[in-house]
Amino acid sequence: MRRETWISFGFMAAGLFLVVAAWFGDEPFTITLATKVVILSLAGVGLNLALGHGGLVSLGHAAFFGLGGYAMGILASHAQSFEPLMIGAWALEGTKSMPLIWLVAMLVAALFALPIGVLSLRTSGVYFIMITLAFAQMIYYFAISWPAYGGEDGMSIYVRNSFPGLNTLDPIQFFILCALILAICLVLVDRLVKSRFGMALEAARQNPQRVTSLGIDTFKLQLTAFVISAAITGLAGALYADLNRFVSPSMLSWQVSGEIMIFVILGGVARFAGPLAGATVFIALEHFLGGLTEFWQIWLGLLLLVVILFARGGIIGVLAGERRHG
Amino acid sequence: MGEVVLSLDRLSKRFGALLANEDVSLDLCEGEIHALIGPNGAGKSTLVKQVAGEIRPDGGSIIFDGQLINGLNTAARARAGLGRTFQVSSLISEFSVLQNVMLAVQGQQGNTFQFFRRFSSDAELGKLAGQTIEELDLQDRADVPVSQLSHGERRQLEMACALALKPRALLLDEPLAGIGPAGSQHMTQLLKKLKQQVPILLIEHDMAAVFELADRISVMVYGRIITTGTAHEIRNNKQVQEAYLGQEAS
Ligand SMILES: Nc1ncnc2c1ncn2[C@@H]1O[C@H](COP(=O)(O)OP(=O)(O)OP(=O)(O)O)[C@@H](O)[C@H]1O
Ligand SMILES: [Mg+2]
Repeated sequence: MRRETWISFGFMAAGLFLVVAAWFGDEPFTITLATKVVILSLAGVGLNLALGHGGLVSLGHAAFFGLGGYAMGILASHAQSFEPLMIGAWALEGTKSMPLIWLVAMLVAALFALPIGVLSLRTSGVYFIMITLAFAQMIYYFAISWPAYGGEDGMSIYVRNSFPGLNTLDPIQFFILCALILAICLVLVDRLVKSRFGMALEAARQNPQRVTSLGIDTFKLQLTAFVISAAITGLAGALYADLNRFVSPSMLSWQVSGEIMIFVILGGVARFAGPLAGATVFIALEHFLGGLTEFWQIWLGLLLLVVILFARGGIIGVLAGERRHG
Repeated sequence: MGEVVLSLDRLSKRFGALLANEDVSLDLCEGEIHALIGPNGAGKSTLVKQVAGEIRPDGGSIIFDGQLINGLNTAARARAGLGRTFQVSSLISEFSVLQNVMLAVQGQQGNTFQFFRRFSSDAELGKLAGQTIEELDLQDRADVPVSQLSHGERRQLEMACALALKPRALLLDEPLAGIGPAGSQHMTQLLKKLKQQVPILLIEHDMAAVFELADRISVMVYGRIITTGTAHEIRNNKQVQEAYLGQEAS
């Protein structure tokens, strides 16, 4: 196995060990913190596909994260109030079932990503960054001014949604569920990246002219990657809202887009476990440094600066000791 | 001469005040190498880019295999069978030689949207790419990343990618540039052999190679084709000597 693979698995094993220790030590707060890391990592895994492998620097992934969150919030609130959700003439039942909610969250994120991708992919570079940001901001302001689901204040879900056979309110059970989803997504994305599709996507990032001259449409490649990437981040959003039992427009804000991007860059762009390492360090800094000083983000900024200037492969890149694209 | 595969009819392209191509008409027939020569900046690459679909002509039509292809995008034209190499080589630099050709085979097969099976252990891609690599004598370099290849090897690899597409016509933009006498010799022999399989539109500054290879030669000066003829005719054409060959000799 390559060194990077060892490091990735070692990293995950260490994380699991901490959680098990927290479980035996009866520290539910630590487990919840770890769950947060896992879910945010998943959001990063989504962005990493577009940003790392596709070269699509999206500063709008909060849109998909938030849409996933709202998909969960809206479905669960209708289940709580027993009022059907009206879409035109259709009456849809709300639901508290996680698998169903996840499916809807991914679909909604993908459905939004499709037109956003079609329009954004006409541009590249800074324009792509700005246009994805602009779309996310539109959705953000829409959520703020839409009173039906809490508007600016957001909405609470009183009981965490259910998964067959589990007590999701038990922190360790919810953690295991989230960790399993992350593991499955990591494996699927890894397969995807190494498939014909993934290699063509990677090639299009490096040299679109070459890929086009081989008869492969780079637009279709990148659009597909963007949509899959959004669906994964949307799934993470649904889980995140479930973790907090709360969803609000802040999930859609550009700061969240930036944070997801920081996970990816800090951990290592296009690295298997990059988003995990990035989210872990980010949350650790926020938690421990944030407890000491209000200005912890200065230290985060410094760390990010060091990574960008001296370690383009991010944390995983430095540990794996091999350079790849940056 | 065989049947016409590619036919350009009065193509024009303007860049601001500069008329880079003006009413350019030429055709490419089965079994031939049609060379396009002309001084730097004459508009040769511009013509190839229009045929490949990278830039849109201001006027004129491109007929390939009996069909008007002006409306097709670059990828669709490649799928239709237009293979090309670039004046400045254009490859996937972090991929190995083999991976570059495998991607070309994948483009030829048109089944890029497979998400699960591993590309690198895809026996079918590997086998077809391996054959093409051997045709171009790159088999010893199969696993070397492109960034470590010599200039000549990159040119060979570009050819391999173009051939893996099983093209119906090849557009080669200066394939001999900067690859040294031995590489040049090698490539010339290869092109000679290739033209039986696929007609070639060849842009080249190396006159010895052009005269050796070309069945027909078109001469482009300031965006216009001033004459088309056999090697013998071109060599003895006064206008050409003045506009181009004479310039080389002086
Ligand atoms: N995208 C562009 N925008 C503006 N001018 C261009 C563009 N592309 C080419 N030109 C100009 O058009 C003219 C023809 O360029 P072209 O590259 O086709 O020449 P060429 O015959 O291939 O020359 P060479 O033998 O040096 O490769 C040149 O004067 C060039 O500067
Ligand atoms: Mg040129």
